[in-house]
Amino acid sequence: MRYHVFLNGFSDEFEKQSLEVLGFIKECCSDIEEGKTIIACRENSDFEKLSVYAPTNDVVFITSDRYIPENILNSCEKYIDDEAIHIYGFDNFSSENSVRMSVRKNGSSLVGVRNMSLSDDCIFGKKMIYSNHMEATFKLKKSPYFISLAKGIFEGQITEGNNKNIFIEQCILNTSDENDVLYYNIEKEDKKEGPENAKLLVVAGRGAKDKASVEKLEEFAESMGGKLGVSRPVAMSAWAPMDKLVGVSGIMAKPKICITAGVSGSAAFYAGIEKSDFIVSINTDEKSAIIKKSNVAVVDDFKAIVEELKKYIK
Amino acid sequence: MAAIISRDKIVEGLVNILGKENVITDEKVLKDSSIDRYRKYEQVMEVYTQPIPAAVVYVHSAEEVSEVLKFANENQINVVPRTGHSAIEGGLETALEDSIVIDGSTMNKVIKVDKYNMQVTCQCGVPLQDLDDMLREQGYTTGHSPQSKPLAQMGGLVATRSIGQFSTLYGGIEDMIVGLEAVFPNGKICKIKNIPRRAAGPDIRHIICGNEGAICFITEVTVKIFKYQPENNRFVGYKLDDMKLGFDCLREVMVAGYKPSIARLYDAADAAMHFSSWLEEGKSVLIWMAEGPAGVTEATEKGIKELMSAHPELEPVDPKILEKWFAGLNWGPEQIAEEREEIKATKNIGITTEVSGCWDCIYEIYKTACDRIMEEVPDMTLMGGHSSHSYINGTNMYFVYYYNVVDCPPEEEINKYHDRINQIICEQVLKYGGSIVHHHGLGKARAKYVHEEYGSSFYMLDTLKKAFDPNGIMNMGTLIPLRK
Amino acid sequence: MNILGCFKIVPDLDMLPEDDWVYDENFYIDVKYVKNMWNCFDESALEMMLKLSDLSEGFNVLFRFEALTIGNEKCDSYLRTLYALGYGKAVRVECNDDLRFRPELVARSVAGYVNKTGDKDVIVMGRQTSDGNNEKTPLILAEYLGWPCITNVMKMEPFDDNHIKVISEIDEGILTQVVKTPCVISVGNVAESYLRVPTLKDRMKLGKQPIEIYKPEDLGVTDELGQATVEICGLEKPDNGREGIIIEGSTPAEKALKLYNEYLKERLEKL
Repeated sequence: MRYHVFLNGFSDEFEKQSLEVLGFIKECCSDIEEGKTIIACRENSDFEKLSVYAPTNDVVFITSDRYIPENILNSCEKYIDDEAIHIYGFDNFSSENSVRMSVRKNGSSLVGVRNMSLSDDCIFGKKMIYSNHMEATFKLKKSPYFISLAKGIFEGQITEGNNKNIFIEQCILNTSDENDVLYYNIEKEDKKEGPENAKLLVVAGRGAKDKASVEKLEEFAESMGGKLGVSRPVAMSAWAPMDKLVGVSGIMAKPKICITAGVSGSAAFYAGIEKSDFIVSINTDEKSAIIKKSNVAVVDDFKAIVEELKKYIK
Repeated sequence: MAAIISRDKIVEGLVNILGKENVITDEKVLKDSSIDRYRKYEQVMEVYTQPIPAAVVYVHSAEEVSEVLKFANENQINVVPRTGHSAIEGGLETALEDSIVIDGSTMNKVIKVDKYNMQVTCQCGVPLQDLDDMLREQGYTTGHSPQSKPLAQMGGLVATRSIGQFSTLYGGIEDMIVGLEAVFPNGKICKIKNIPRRAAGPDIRHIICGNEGAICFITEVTVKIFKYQPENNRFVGYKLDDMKLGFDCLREVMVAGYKPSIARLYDAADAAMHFSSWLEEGKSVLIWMAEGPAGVTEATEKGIKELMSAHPELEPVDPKILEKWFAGLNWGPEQIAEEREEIKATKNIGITTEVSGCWDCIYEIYKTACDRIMEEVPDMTLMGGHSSHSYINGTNMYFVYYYNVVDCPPEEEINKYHDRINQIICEQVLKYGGSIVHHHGLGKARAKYVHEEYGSSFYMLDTLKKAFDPNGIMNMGTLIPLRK
Repeated sequence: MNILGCFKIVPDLDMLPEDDWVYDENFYIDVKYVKNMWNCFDESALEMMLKLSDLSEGFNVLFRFEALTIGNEKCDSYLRTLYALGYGKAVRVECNDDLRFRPELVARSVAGYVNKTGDKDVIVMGRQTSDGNNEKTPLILAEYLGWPCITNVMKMEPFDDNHIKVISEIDEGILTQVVKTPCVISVGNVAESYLRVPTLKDRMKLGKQPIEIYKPEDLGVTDELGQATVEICGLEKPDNGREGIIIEGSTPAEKALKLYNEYLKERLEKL
């Protein structure tokens, strides 16, 4: 069996995505023969630079002035190999191209793959279903196989110094394009990071006791690139503005890491951080509800712990 | 009436008593503290129509409460006692200018779990959810489980005469209270001791229980505890077409002398919201749960089934489904957050009003109120309800209704819809001789009906209020309407 | 312009308690006691259609809406709700199969209906359902019909009889384009996307129109055509690891160091 890789060179996240694909290949494709990497990108891209991230030695660039899924699909069709696994990244480009191509080529596809294994006549992929409540294993029954990855699962590295064989070709344009799309404009999103979409959230609770301590926690959060949130008693004591309130009457956050400091953990509050990947709690009371709802907890005064942590965090 | 000193002086006086850190004057906090969930639509739309309080203060002891009340009493400042902030009938609205909101949520210690005497003592700010979770871990329960459990705290639960989903067995909070501590407007701290029963004069606990913050501030509560043995729970349920038959079935079980912890009857509209995955459209649902020692629950289940077998129109429901449904019933915090977004997006809002009546009039109350509302109120999207607390002589009716707020600024919503519906329900209840309030409290929303509700006994309520709160500083507008 | 909105009714998974995530030999989780709801992406899609109509003043485009779902009679009350909200036709493809991982069958049925009626300009549906999480149906449908597919759509606006303005979320920002119909629109995350609620009066007046019912075979769907290409063969409940492990240590310094080294360092680097 052989694998081919399809990457989205239009994306701002090209590098991150490629590294995750590299990670996937290292972890799940070690016994599989290397095929080609196909990168769809703009005409004025730096091909040398992009090719560094290609997992294979042969790299094909398909260029176009903008990403139109149907045109990219048409151009990629000839690179599909009936017996191969076709691996895509984790973005929208990846899911739409992999699924649509699998229909065109009468194969099978799986979106959001977290793991893959092979058997003699089929491949197995793992992914989350039931809105992240369960992990399922699926058998992909028909080749060719198309896999797009789940985000943030795999980690890979580039190998420097390999000279890649680069091929560049123009994307097949559908002549009616100009008539089909009358207007096309991308507006860069001003991604303002509030607590609701922070990757790291530090939450101050009643145990903070005063405004100054809450402000210190905010500095601590920001020093790690995170944001401050507060529990209801803190907001209602005006130690922090109301727009930082986490919980049912405020922000429902889903950070990667959530650190609570002096928070007791009422149900109404906890709902606001329940979707965190990892919860660390610091509280002087071993019996407070938050402890059991955390991944790890430190039973101590958070001020002392935070002062110590600052030494390690630049 | 207005305070006789300025807003600044009020704040200054409070800072002198409690220190700066416990006196909050942040505008957003004050606005949020001027209302409760009765003005849910205004809250969601962030339009505040009530007078904004002078300060929210956090208290830590009965002594601090006493000092603050004395200060308010001397300067004729209206105070609104508060703990969990989950009130829904306007009880927490600051109806007068320059009010002080006294927040007891900082008094959150469980003072004593007395397993030998089967009672637990806690401060007013202990959240019921925390208390009951803690007790259940040790094999006990308060037996109190209102839908507001994730938010409500002990002081507020007693102040509003709350009731829980297992009331048919355990009773309302008035049946659970053992002793209390409360502070009166003149600063007097009163403690009623914890004993099983006494006949030494009137039961003065009931001056405190249900006072809705209009007579005193509750600082400490002792309630009974019970053995928690969910492994013995038994569920019985039926589908049926007719609410009249449903009320009759509830009555039969009560009159026969059974004590299920849950006895519920949902009409078709309300049932459709809860049981959409298995219930046919247009069907009502009857549900009982038996709780307690195994022998009792088994006998209760058997007894109810026997009684119901006389009604061939009833179609049994798999008890497993009911058990699962019930486990997820509580008004989870997620739903509250979601509700807010949903109201904002759809301008569709859901409200409840709870009333009670004897067996001979409850169906008429239910039927005529629903019919009138459908006829007289525009933009209704759902009208229904359920009975969820039954007694030997009658039951309650929990009206559930949703409407679209159409062509109406947020500040007008209460008049155009909410109060109009409330009025129809109250009129029908009074006409048939029920009570307009089953367990949310009169608050300010329904205070205007207090004379009709009390009749000649209003004299007693009025005398209580005047005796304990002669200067009129305790949560004015609650229980007894303001003179305009 | 004729727009078909497709939706699925799903269980409210948040209502299912932790202990009840158990499955049978078909990897089926018993959800019959939790209440049903619109699949959230589909709900956004259905509301987006109605908003299109709200915005149509001054555009001289007449929008006609139809709704289609696949399932048993439990779906009918939802279809009636859509009638009450002003949808012109409600269609149900009668099917009692487990559709969680059958995007091919679903897309074949929709394509069959579209081809049979022949007058649809736009098909709108959510990008994925909350139970199957396949993220495939609108994409497969676009391939079956040979139409373009715009994904992660947040908003639609009227343009003219043959075009529609579509705003979607892409990696680099917000993409606005005016596209020629016909097309398939796959709806992604939309803020405040609850479906409006019809009044009881509209339910009485409009909600009683008959629901058109088809069997998959009426729409030309054969076992062969609707065959699944992947098959579930394992299921597992991931452990969220919220064990409340208490970090031991005699001083704050000791505890903080342990917390940092064992739990935070690596996670922070990954951010």
